[in-house]
Amino acid sequence: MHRCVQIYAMKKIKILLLFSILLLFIPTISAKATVKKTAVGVSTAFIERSGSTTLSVFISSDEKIAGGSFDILYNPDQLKINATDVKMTDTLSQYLVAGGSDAAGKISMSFAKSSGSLIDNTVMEVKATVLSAGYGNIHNLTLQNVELYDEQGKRITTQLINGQIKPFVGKESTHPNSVEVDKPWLITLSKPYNPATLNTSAVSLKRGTTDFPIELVVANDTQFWVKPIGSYIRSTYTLEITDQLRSINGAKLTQPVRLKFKVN
Amino acid sequence: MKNIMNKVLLFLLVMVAVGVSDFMTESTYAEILEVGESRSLGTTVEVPITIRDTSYLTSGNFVITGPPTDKGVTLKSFRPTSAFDDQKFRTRSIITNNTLDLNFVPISGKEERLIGNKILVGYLVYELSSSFKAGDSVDLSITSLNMKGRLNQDVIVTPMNGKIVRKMPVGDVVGNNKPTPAAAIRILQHLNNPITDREAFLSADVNGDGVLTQEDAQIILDYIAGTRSTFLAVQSKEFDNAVLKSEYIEQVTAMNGRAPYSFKRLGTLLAGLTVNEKTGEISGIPTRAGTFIFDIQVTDAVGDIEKRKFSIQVIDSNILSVEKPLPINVKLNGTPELPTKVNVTYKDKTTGKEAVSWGPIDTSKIGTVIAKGKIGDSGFTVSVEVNVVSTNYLNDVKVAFVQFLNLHTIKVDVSTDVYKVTVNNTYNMHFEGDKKFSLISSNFPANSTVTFRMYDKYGNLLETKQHILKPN
Repeated sequence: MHRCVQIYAMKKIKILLLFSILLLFIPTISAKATVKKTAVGVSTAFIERSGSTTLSVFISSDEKIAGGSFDILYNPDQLKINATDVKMTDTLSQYLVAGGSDAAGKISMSFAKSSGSLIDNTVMEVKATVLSAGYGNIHNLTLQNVELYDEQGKRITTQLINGQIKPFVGKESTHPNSVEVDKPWLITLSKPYNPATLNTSAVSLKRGTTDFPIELVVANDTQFWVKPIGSYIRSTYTLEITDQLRSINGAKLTQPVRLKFKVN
Repeated sequence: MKNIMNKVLLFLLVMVAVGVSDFMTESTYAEILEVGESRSLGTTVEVPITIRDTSYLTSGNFVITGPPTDKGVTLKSFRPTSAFDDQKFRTRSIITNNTLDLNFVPISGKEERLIGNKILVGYLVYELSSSFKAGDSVDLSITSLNMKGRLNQDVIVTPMNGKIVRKMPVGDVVGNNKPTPAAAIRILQHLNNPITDREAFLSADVNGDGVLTQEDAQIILDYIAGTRSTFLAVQSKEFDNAVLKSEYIEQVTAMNGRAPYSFKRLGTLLAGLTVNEKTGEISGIPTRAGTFIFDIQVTDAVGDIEKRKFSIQVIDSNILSVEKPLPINVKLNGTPELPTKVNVTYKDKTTGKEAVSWGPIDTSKIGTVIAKGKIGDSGFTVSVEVNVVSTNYLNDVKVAFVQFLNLHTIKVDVSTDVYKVTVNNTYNMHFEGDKKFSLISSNFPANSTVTFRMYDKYGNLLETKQHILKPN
C-alpha cells in the first residue's frame, strides 16, 4: 500500500514536471515591458484542413470599463463568417451593445453604459468556416481599433491577443492512468503568467469535440488549477493550453499543449 | 427573300433592345466617386473616398483638389484601405499643392468584383492649422476622373465633391474627433451630468429630437460597430394644427446626411396635402378633419435612408392660423416665460389676440422640449420650442433713441459663448469686446419689437429673444 502511494506520487510529480518543461515561455518581449492587466482577445482554434469552429472573443479587465469597441479583421477569401454567425453573450447585458459581421472581412462590436464595471468573460462567440482547405494554412483573426474607456471617458491600456485558426502544432501527451471523476489539474509554469490571459479561451477541456465546463483558479503567479465543474463521466478528455496564455511580460508559450486523459 | 428580311429585322430589333437596356442600366445605376464631408476640431482630419454603385472595377485615375494652403488646410498624405494597398489594387498617389492625383490598377491584372457594390478607396489626411477657424468650411473638388469597369470598359462616374468643416464631428461629443464609445458613455451620463456646450450637445443629439436619450447612444454605438453607415436623421417636429379647407404649410428637415435630400411620404397623408419631394415641404388645403399619422422617409445623395413619424391634426375652427411664438430659452429647472396671448387670424381674415393655457413643461434636462397650449375652446393648439439651457446668453439690453433722426443705439451684454448677434435676422451687431455687441440703426420704428439671435463660434443658434425698443 505504501509503495502504491509512492508510485502514485511519483507519477504526479512527473506530470507536473512535464508541464513545467512544456510551458517554458520564450522571452520575446523585454522583461521591462509594462504589465497590461486588461486584455481583449480572440481565441485560437485548431482545425487540420477545413470545417467550422466557434471562436470566443473575451475581455478581461482589472479596471472598471464603461464602454469600448473593437474590430476583428479576417480574410473573407479564406474564412466565411456571416452576420448570423456572430452571437453576443450575456456578459455585457448591462450595457448598450451593437455589433456583428459585415461578412466581408470585419467583425465589430461596441458597447457602453453610464458607469464602469469589471469584465472578465467571453463577450462574443463567432462561428467561422474555413473556406480554403489545405494542410498548414493559418487563418488570422486580428484585433484592430480596440478602445476601452473608463467612466471618465479615459482610454484604458489594453493588451491585444489575436486569434488564429490553424492546425495543431504542439506538444501532445497522454496521461498513463485513468483519473478520478473530480480530478483537478495543477498547471505549473516556468515564469509568472498574466492572469488577464488566463481564461477558457486559452485553457480548455474537451470531451471528444465538446467543451467540458471548467473553472480556472489562480494558485499563485506561476501556477493555476483547472477544475471540472461537475464530475467527469466515463470518457476520454483533452486538456488544451494555447499560446494565448501569456507571461507577465507578454511572451507566448513555446508551443500549445494537449494532455489526454481517461476517466473510467 | 422575305425570310432573310425577317431575320435581319429581328436581329436589328435585338440589337436595339440590347442597346436600350445597356443605356438604361447606365443611367439608372450611375457609378459615383464620393469624396466625404468631414468635420474636425483637431489638428488633423481624414476624408474618406468611396466608389459607389458599381459591381466591377478594373482601374481608375482621379484628381482631388483642395483649397489654397493659406486657408489652413493642408493635404499631408493619402492612406489607402487594405483593398487599395495590397489586397485588390495597387495604388500610386502623388500630392502636389493640396491636390491628390491617384491611380490604381488591379493586382490580379483583371476586373475585381465589389462586395456590396461599393468600396472605400482610402482617406485624404489633412493637417488643420489655427487659421482654419471654428465654423469655417473648405471644398474638396474632383477635377479629373476616369474609371474602367467590367471587361476594362470605360464607366461613366458621377463625381460627388467633399468638404471639411471646422465643427465637432457628429457623434463625437467628448472631443475625440470621431464617434467613440466615450461619446455613448457621456450621453448615458447626461441625466446626472448635463452636456451644456451647444456644439457638443448637437454632436450628441444624433437623432435630431432635441433631447439626449439612450437612443442617441445606441445610434452612435451602431455607427461605430458598422451596423449603420450614416447619421442621417429626420429632425423631429411638432406640427401646428391644420384648419379644414384652409391653406397649410409645414416643413420637414433632414440632417447629418449628404445633401441634396429627397423626401417621400409613407402611408396615408390626409386628403389635400402633398409632400414636396425636393424640399420636404408639406402643403395644401386639407379637406377632412381628424388626426393623421404618417411617416416621412428621407433619402440622401448617396442613397442612405431614414424616416420619422409625424402627425397633423385637422380641425374645423373659426381661427384660420396662429402666429407661432418664437423659440424661448429657460434655465435648467426654471419656469419658461410663455406668452399668455397669441396673435390669431380668423377665417374672415380679421386678426386678434387669444388667450393660451399652457400645459406642464419638464425643464429638468438640458435640451429642447415642446410646450403645448390650448387656445380658448377653439380646439386650436399652439406649440413653442423651449430650449432648456445652463446659462443665460443675453444678460442685458440698453436702448437709446434720437427721435428726430429715428436713430436707435442698441447695446447688448451677452455671455462668453456668444460670438455673433443679429437683429431681426438681418443686421449683424458689431462686437465691441468684453462680451458686448452694439448696433446703430434708423431702420426700426420707435417702440417696435425686434428679435435678437445669438450664435456660438460654430454658427449654432443659442437663443432667440424678442425685445421692445424702449429707451432705458
